[in-house]
Amino acid sequence: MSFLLWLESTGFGTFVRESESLFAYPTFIVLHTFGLSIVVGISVVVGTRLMGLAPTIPLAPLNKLFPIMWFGFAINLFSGSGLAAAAASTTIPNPLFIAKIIFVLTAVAVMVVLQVKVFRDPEVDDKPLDTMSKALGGSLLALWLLAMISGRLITYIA
Amino acid sequence: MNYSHIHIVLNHFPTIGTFFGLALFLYALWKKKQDMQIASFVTFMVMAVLVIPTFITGAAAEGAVSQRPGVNPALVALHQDAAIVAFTLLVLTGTFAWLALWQYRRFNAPSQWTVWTVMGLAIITMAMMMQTATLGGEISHPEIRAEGVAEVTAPPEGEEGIAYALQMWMVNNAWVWPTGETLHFTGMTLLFGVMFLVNFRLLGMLRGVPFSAIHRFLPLGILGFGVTMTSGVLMFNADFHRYVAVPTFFLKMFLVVVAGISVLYVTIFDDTWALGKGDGTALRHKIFAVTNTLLWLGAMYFGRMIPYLE
Repeated sequence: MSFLLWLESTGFGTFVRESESLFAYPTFIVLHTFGLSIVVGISVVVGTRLMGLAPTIPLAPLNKLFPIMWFGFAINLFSGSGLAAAAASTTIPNPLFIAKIIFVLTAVAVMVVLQVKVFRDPEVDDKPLDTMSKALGGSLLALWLLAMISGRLITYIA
Repeated sequence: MNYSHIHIVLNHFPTIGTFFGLALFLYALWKKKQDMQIASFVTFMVMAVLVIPTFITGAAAEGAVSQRPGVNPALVALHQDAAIVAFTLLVLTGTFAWLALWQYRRFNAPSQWTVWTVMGLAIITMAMMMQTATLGGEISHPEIRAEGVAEVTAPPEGEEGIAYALQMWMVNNAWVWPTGETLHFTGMTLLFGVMFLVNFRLLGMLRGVPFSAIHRFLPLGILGFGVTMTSGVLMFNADFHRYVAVPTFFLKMFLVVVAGISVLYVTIFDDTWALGKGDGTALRHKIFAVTNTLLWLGAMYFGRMIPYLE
């Protein structure tokens, strides 16, 4: 607990929480939504494509979307750290927050596997997609949805 | 110029526009003219977008108008109740009209069931829109009021109408508001994912993907827009006095309207559809992609800032 209180009292945590500037809390919230729209938005495209939507889209070119997804994730890692630090002692012990972080980390692991095993394979479009890849696509969508639900509820259920 | 003024300007679009679209549609059906049928679908879609600011400015005008001498607030409430139904119907008509345009592009012709759905919805919308417009006109024009309208009184408890019932449902159930917010974000991710895919291709990235393949994703984006809009309308209806007091909210909705209409460019225009595998994109494609992305991101920015800028 003392670590969480320390985290709250750092300059970063205090700035996000207490500064009257629009660049403090409101901007961190906006950045978190921007990053979300990038990483989850593009995951929707990648995940639904793997699950069979728009099969005429070749998979190999979609590999180029991954750096953009990681950029979105980086925005949220930064903005999320700020928001969590600002209310560390109440947010971080919240079971919903812990659940959200587990969903996010699992989604990130799925993204890594998809990028390395599926989209970087030069022959990915020459063979039918295996069931594992389809399941990973679906899991990615489910995990982001669960992360969004638990994240939203943190505000309501303390 | 205030919101009542803007509402009076805008409310002609959904009423006259729907009538015009339906006339065009029926004439095209009779003469079997495809171009004209496409024009009617475009009309319905554009009207479905323009009804959004009409609805919002109407809610913004409510407070000022109800307190004016000679205005019966019960009549305003009746107009508002008819408006939410007409609004929903027109948005549905526009959505199916958009689907018909998408099918026209993808399969060279819309499916029969889409065409008949648009027609059925447009006719019901037209009737409801006339009812709404009549009630709206009667608020401030005693000379056109039907007999007895001036004396309508607020309905008894339990019979307050749809807008009020929805408002109470949102306010009295603890789970509804967070669910609405989560759906607002979920729909947004569908919309933004598809929007990013489309705009990256128009910027000249992902050249290995023909635009016709990306086009198949558009309904998913429109579905996302629908989810976001439905949850947004419910939240707006439940607490509209708060939203209409924030100028940022109107800026957000203005950007949504422009961005919404711009979707036509990627839905039916040959200019985007013709981009094949390996094709680079022209400056106009890139300008569209940048502008469209900024419009959606701007809408998101101002939407998220509503609680902080009020």
